[in-house]
Amino acid sequence: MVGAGTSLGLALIVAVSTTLLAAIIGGAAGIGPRWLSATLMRGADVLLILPELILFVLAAAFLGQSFGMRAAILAVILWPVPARVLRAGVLTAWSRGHLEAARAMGAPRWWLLLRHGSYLIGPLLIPVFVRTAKVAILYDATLSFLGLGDPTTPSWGTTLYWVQANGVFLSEAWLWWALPPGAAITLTVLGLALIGIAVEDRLNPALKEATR
Amino acid sequence: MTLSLRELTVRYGGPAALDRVSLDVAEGEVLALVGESGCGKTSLARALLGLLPATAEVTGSALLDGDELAGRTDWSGMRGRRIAILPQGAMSGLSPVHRVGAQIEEMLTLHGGSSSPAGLLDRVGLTAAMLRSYPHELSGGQRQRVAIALALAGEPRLLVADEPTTGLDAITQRQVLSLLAGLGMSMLVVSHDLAGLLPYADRVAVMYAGRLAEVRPARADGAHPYTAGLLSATPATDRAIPWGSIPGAAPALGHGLPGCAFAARCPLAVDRCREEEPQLVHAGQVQVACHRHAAGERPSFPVVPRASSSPGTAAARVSALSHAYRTRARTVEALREVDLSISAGEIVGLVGESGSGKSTLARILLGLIRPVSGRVEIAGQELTGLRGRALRRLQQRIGFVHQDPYDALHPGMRVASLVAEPLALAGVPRQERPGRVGTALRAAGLPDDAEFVRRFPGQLSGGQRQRVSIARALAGEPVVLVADEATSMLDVSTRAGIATTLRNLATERGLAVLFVTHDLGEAVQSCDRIVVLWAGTVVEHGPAEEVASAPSHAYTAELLQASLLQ
Repeated sequence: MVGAGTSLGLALIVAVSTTLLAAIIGGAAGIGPRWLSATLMRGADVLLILPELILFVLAAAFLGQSFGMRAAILAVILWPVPARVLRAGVLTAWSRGHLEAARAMGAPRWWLLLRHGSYLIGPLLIPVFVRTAKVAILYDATLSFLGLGDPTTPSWGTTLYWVQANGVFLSEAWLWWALPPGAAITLTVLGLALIGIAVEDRLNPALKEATR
Repeated sequence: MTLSLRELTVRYGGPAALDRVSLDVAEGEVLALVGESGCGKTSLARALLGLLPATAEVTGSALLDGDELAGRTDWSGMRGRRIAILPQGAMSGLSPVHRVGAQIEEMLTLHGGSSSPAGLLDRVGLTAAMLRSYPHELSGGQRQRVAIALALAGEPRLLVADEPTTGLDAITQRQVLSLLAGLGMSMLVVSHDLAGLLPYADRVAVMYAGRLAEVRPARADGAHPYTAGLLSATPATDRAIPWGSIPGAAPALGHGLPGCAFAARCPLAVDRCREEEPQLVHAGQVQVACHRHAAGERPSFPVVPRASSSPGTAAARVSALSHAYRTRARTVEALREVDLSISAGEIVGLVGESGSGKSTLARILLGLIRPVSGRVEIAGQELTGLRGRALRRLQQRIGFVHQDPYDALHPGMRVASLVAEPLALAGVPRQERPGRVGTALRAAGLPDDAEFVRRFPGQLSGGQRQRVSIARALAGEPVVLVADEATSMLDVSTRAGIATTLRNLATERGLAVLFVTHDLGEAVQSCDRIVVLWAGTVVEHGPAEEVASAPSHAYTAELLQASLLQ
């Protein structure tokens, strides 16, 4: 169970940094001038078409497998989807009446974003955070399982890698070696996914209407 | 009787939204069901078609040719064939990917109608050539006609039309109503526009707070003070007819007041009205629920005052203003060489239909859009060239009242901080703010007590929200106030009240007001000068009396004609 710390810690760090990165990039693309928005969003498009998992595995193989490096790579790979979501949120918020009224009052942009935009965009950050944490756990476990992670620090993925490498699946011991990390990954991801759905249902009025 | 309602009541798990309504629709009769938002008219229409949410509880009876509609669960062979609905905004509900012909065919198959698609289109005044059109190729009026044709496909005995004219311009509204009236079928037209429906309906039922206030032939005189108020609150394009407002706002659902629900707003109310609920009784041709009916007194409502002083110096001047919206595919010219000036203490009406460029002009004046060419001067300062801090400082001298009172106020801010926002932006010291907020609230016709300023927008009525919006615009002590369709989303009875407030502000504070509206009647009633905008060009410009009595452009004349038909 020492591995849980590594996996969950990494998930937390990646989720925080990705959400921050996405908020900054998405926000800038939403309220910035047209050229900035175009550049950022085309950059996001390029990252989006690359397969995330393969990119992560390759980048980790070339740049190193330390904890910090893995977290950094994941954050860089995972920002485009949430950034698009947040940019859309900012654009929708910008067309709202009270933002227009505030702009007509001569409110500077930071005022609009902090006073008016945060109320509308803030709720979007929570599902983004949960989803990113979920994906980070899954990808990092995959990396370790493939033996491309850091083999010296214990984590759920590394445990599975050693299970696989030592041929535990052929013996009776799989129940004690493979099942706990496997179940931990499954349950954590499932739990995070359910939290994400619940939070989104709670905060997104459109979905609330649809399910009623 | 085609339809006969007896004691029909609808509850959404609490007080009755529709309270013991008894009403008949005769064969071939057009009955107009009129009332303001929240009066229960939509609940009634939905109850007839079984379209209420599952939480609704319907009691009483609604017989359509002997079939009970209230509380019905099996609707096969009923909806579409016996009773059809023309839903609100039906014209935007057509399928965008199917041709008109295919959509009519579908309805005919579904409801086993025997007429041909071309025949149905002919009935609603369209040619058979339109069968091959897609909805986006048709105008709003044509789409509404197609929607009517769809409702007629099942040859229903009764057609329920829910707000059939919303989203259409004044001229098309008349055409659609006269088409509906000319169909010769039993019809229940639900609307908030009493004056607009009067020439087309056979009978009128007026609802207030879930109860019937009055049922009468359309040609007879109104008997209930509320009906008189509604008619007076509809602005006429004739300056000789004053524009009145009913004070206060409609009571909330479950107000629990004894007596007549209208008593609090009624100029004729006596003690009995506040204690005993009036019943709907026959009085000649008219059925009316009012204690004061027999007295024969005419209620008098407060009217919108006119300018008493001559306007001062120009506060805002727009010259040779042009703007175009560019997208990759095409360029849309929104404004062409527009000139306009607004003096201190003067209300200028900017009239035009949607797409005429009036909102663009308002946004350029507010500094939200940078025009392609032309000059905008606010209080002697050129606006178009300004950027950044200088632009924001000038913007603080322009007040803005947004069209939508439900969207223009931050839902998480209290009244006090909403109104103080321009002060905070202008850097007014914190201790001075409450005093100025109070002044602004009183000027906008609102209370400024501690309880009121702590409310959130969700706890206010539409009219109160719009007044908070006005108070917010006033707090920064602007020289120009831009009211963008400030009354269009409010109930008829409260519109004139907002116009009165604007007039008082212009007179007392010397404020220059730009009143943007699509309703020529409102502009004629409340403005000193009128500018009519059509396709981005000013086609008419002059004092309100002159524009109303002697329009110089064909478009203005057509607009006047459409409103005079009332």
